[in-house]
Amino acid sequence: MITLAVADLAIAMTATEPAWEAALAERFAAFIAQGPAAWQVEVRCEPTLTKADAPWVRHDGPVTEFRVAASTGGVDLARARAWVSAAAEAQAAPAVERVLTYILMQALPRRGNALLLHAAGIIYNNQSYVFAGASAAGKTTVARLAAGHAEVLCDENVVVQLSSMSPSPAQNEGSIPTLAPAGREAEKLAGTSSWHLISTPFWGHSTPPELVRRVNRRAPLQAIYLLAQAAEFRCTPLAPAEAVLALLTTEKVAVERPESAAAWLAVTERLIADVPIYRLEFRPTPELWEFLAEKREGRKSGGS
Amino acid sequence: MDPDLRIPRHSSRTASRLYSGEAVIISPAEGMVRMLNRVGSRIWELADGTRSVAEIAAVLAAEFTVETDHAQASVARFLADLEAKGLIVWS
Repeated sequence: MITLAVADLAIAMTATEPAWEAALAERFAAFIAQGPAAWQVEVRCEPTLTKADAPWVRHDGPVTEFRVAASTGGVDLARARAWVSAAAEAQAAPAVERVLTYILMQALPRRGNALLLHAAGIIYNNQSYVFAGASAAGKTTVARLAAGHAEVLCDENVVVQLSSMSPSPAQNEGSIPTLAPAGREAEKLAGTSSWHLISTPFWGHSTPPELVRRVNRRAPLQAIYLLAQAAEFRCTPLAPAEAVLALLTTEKVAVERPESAAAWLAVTERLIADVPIYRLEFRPTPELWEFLAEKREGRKSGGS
Repeated sequence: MDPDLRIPRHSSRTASRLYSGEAVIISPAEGMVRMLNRVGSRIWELADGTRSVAEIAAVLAAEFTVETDHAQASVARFLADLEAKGLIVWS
């Protein structure tokens, strides 16, 4: 059995094939943790599974089941258990990642202080930035443009979490993170809390392998950008409701049940009250970083 | 029953939140997200299962300085539309 911890959520995984478990442990090495797990996931080998002709996802109360590519599985939100089957080791990792991201998407908002976002996470000058967008909006492009300018935490899935203390960004490698969850009580005790960007090991499945670096990091969150590729750079602040709608375009799975939608909206309300959200039109050139630095300086000196 | 005495409330099949006075409503069953304008958002906020159509219209008439009859007709029409979309039910 291996246990992963992403954004304080510990998930234990057991694979029926020992070689798969070893491969998963290696893949997620930076996120391996000790201690009790909130979730249990069983990874099964089903050699007869073929690629699904028509992928499907269905919900029955707290249980969601799926058949996608050469994998099948289910997530039981009430029992905090999940299972996933793949035909061969090569398909196991993407299938497991599909289930783990689903768990994070559903479980983190219900804790009241965090969201999994389909976004690239970048650390630039010790501050972190989220670049969110639908498929092909430019997340991996931004990750590629970061080379030599900024550190990429992930190009596809990141967590934003309200935390009641702020460790150095290099903390937490290989252990269950020690940040206190920032519930109302924690806020009262700490007197303050702030949003952090937290990496996940779930990069895009079509990301060039040379870009992938599964690191376990977190850093104070400075801003969220909704990406749109364009001929010129432009950064436009979004009104709160607009920001929510823009985020929802990439987070439909997170709100597929009324209770998960309510939890997602509640966390988002706190997020947009604290963190500026912009629509970022950009050209895919390294001038992006210069443009953002100028914008940041402008904001510090009172500009928009 | 006088239709203006009916009491609307949000359907349990929806989740919603007001952001700076603008309502965002999610209907997971139909995979829809809606944002209401200021007036619609205020009606949505007031349709919380404690006020009748007439009471909601009275609040709107006062806040937006319009005739009560006009407000009542607008509120009734808007709530009927929300009901047709499955966003509200009647208590």
